[in-house]
Amino acid sequence: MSSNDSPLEPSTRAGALLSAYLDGELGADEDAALEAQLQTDQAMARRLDAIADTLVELRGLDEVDVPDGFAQRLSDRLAPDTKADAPVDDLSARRARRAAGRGISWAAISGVAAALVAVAVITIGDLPGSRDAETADMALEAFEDPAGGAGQGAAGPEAAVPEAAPDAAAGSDTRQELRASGTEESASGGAPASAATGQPAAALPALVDAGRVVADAAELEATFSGLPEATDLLGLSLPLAQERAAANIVAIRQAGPLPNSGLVPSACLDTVTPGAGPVVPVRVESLRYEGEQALAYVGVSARTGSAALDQVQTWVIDPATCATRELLTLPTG
Amino acid sequence: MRSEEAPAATDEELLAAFVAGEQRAFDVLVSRYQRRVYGICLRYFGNPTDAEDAAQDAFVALYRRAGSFSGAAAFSTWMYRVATNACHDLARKRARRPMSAGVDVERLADSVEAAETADAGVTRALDEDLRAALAQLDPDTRDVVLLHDVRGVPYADIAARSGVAVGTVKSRIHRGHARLAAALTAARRDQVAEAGREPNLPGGRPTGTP
Repeated sequence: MSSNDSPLEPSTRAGALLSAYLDGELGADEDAALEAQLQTDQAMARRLDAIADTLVELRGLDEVDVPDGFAQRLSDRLAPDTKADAPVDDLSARRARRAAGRGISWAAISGVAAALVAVAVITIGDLPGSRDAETADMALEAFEDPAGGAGQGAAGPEAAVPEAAPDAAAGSDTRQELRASGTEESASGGAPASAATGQPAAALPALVDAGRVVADAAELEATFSGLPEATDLLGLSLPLAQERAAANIVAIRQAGPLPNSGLVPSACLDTVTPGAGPVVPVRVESLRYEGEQALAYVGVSARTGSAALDQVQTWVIDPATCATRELLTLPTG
Repeated sequence: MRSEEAPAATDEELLAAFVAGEQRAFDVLVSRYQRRVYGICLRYFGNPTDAEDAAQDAFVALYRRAGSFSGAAAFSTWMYRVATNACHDLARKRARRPMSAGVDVERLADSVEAAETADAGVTRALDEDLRAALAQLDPDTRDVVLLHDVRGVPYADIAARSGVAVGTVKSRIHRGHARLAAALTAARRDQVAEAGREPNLPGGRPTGTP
């Protein structure tokens, strides 16, 4: 076999990269960079589609017979996933509809989506001290369509339906949640975005005001280790992490003061997310630490040189000065 | 697209419907893509047991992560990657080597020679457009593409037989894919222009059944 390997025209080199990407042969860094580029480069995305279609045809992938009972076994396997676990969320639906490119005739969609909008609006609107529901919804919309405003430049969060704003007077369990903690598996077999890219299920940060008392660093570590909203994000590629971080930061900034402590969740957010690489804030909690009122943030970030989120940290911050009183890297094993 | 009947929902529309809570849409997507996804996994593992498990994993991932579809590329492309990732993940869990990774010495001679002695390296009927596009590739590239993609000969087997590094074989094949896709797209666009018929363009938005 003689070589015909070089020189290559740039378009062929780029195309070869896309082919390798489809077959999962790129490294994590290259994967992440390519996926970020695909979000903004429509010509490249169309080229990727063309190569994928060519591979399907060339390899005869649609000509393979599936084993008998395949669909039934899949159905059985998915049976434990209740409907509540299905990825029903309005913003994702709207984004997927937008991707579909033209109007969707399925009547069910508009009904479900409308109901979800109502849930979202009521929930955000009910948060004590939060800005009005319309503002919150507009903020989320702005992330869905970066050109539309809010200026964060993110391509749009994997949005969740905000849900569950428990009664603030419910006692020690009182907590506001802008999200419901995901219970999904990690990104095994996940979608592009490494997971490969599998972007973990959409989720907004938890805002907690349960009057928790934490004595020391050891108890702090025990309290915040293994939070699913944090561990679910481990392995997320940096471009997607950037999106998620932007979405969560907006959600936190939209929230009003916490009902019991009166602390504003976003008060010291800049201490946690200084801008040097994505930090996805997944939880803000008002608590007492070593006898003093504090704001605790839990964030997921990437160590230097890492192409994906790989560490969970918690900050305990003095709400008056935003000085960090404690910073722990939590065990993730 | 069939002009006589109402167009079927596109994959992207089905996905949007599923994300909005329409379970039927997921079932339709599974029906459309099960052969392809299983085919990808069967190529990857070379055995039906792992292939089915990985294919099931891919659809579970679709079920649970449908909302992460960004719409940058077509759903079909996204699903291709979902399937590939599912294969990689399962291979890691089970410490399997993908068929394309290692040299199976006992199989080596058979696999390459069988491919080389087949009629032009192709026994499966290829679409006429695809044959024409393949003909535009330089012979070396065409040979490795046919061996790997059509005949299913692993990279390492081709490399060992031809005396070049696996990486070189991969590069040639991926470049071949890029050129092939470009040629195929151009050819089908020409056909559309000439005949004025509905295209089946690679890279065009899918209109339904893969």
